Amino acid sequence: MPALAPALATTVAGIRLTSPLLNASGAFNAPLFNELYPLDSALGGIVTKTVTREPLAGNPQPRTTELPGIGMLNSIGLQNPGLAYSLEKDIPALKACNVPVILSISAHSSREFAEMAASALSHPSGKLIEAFELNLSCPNVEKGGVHFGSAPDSVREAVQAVVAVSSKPVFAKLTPNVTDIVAIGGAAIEGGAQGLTAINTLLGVAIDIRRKRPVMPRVSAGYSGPGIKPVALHAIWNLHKHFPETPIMGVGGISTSEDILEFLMAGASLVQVGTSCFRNPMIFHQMIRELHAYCEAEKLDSLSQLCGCAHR
Amino acid sequence: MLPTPSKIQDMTCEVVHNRDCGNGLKIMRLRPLATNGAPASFECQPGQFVMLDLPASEFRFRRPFSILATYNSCDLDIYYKIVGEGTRMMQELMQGDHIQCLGPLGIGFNEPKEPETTLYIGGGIGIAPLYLMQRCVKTPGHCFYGVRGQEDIGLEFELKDAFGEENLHISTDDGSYGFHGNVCGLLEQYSDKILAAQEAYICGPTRMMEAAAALLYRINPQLRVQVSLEEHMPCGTGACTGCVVSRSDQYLPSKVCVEGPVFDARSIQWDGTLLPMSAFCEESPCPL
Repeated sequence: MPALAPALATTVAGIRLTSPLLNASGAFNAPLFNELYPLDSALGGIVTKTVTREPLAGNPQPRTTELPGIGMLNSIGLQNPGLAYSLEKDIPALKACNVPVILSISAHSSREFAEMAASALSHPSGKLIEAFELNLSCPNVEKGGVHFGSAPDSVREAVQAVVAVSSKPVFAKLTPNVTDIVAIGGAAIEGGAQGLTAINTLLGVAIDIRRKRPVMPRVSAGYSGPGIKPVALHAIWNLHKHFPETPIMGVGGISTSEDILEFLMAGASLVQVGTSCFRNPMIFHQMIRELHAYCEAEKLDSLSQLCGCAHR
Repeated sequence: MLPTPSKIQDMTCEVVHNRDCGNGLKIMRLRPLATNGAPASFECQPGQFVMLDLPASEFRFRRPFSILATYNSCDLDIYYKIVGEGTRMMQELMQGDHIQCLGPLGIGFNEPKEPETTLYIGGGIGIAPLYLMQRCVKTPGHCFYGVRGQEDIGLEFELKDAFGEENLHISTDDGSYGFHGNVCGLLEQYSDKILAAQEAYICGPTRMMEAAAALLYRINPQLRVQVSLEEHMPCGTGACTGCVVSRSDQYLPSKVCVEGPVFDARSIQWDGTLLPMSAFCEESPCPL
């Protein structure tokens, strides 16, 4: 696999990435696939599975259901081994991949977010972490249990708390399940977020018509996959329109290199691929080959020139 | 000795054949191809599986299948029953068609220490990894195979060939062949063999595995029983944490795709109950 073409390189929030392509949190076993083919020939960064301070056992089964053609529902419940284990075992295993690591963290209070970021950076594995992505899908116990991601104040405070202790950039991952994602994005930027990740999963329901019951035990679950692409593009378009200086990691339904171009043109600086790599774990390399060919055909010195071009 | 498995690869495979075994049962033989089109090597251990990419243009998960047999460190056989849309797409594949196949994945069965007393307990298409194990160890153990009716036996010739006619015991729910009843009823007739065994392998529907493991432990509490679990698997590679099983010996549920699919039967929480969460999580509902 040849080294990545210079035209694919980009610098976002002070991080130099050799490609604008990352995996979405919780969707890719990077160390495993790095043994099959070097990930540094495709990925600009790796986003970890979300970790919480303590280990979490997650939700009961079934946790996922396929939605043919349009994606999937998931209700994993953030199962993870906890921050300490992750710093000891999972983060060091990413070193071999030779790409910047973005640690995805989730917490139940701003204080806990800050404590997690501080412990991560002070751990020997902390030097591998190039940025944080805040997964704001948990309830905020300091605000009566309202979900972090749906309340501008909670988002601002969580970001502020992490930025205060972090020497590394902070990306706030935004949920689309809100009335006005621009207000939430604005709050994250006020809190000091150097970037936004948009979007997390949509809420969805599937009914088993034979059993006449919801498919998922908790009824609602996170909807991801090709079907959410227009929703993600809508969010990115509006976020970029209001905050053109803030880099956006675009995520939601990307399954082809053409999709990536759409995301960049709508205003994303980087993109993440999640659900589609379940079906095709080699998708990153295919996409990179196609993006490289696109740059050559369009005589683009840098793919990053496309960022937000559809607005102009 | 069990073969050393190949490294995980996403292989382009050619369909060698996709033959009927009656009543919606099929065997698809796949030949992994190298980039130059020549056959590529493939080897796996009994109980390991592959994720097959369905011939669909729209979004679909891959489907996990355990491996029935391998040939010449290259070809592999998948034994499947047409039950849903995914397997209906698979049955359409013809000789010469190509399909992507990720594997070998997961951790298979331990090699038996005393093969001649080992029990192989299968239900339906769950017989596949047990047949592969028998082919690998060669010394025949005792096979107890439960199916709905005679037409669902599918692999009668192959099983007789592998285990020997005297070691193959078949039960049918409808009594059309062999023992009339389920595989647990059949097993109860052979408590001497259960007492004499050191190891047992079970693969089949979950409720059958739970009942069979309980029966084995009741008769011979010293028996080492391994079960191969089946779960929906979006990724098959340990990324999504979608295919988990609760276990009595650890707080975090185990990922069936990378920590299994084979587990010690005694550790499985068959009712799916998750062990108590930490105080951290009890304060508030769990996130998505």
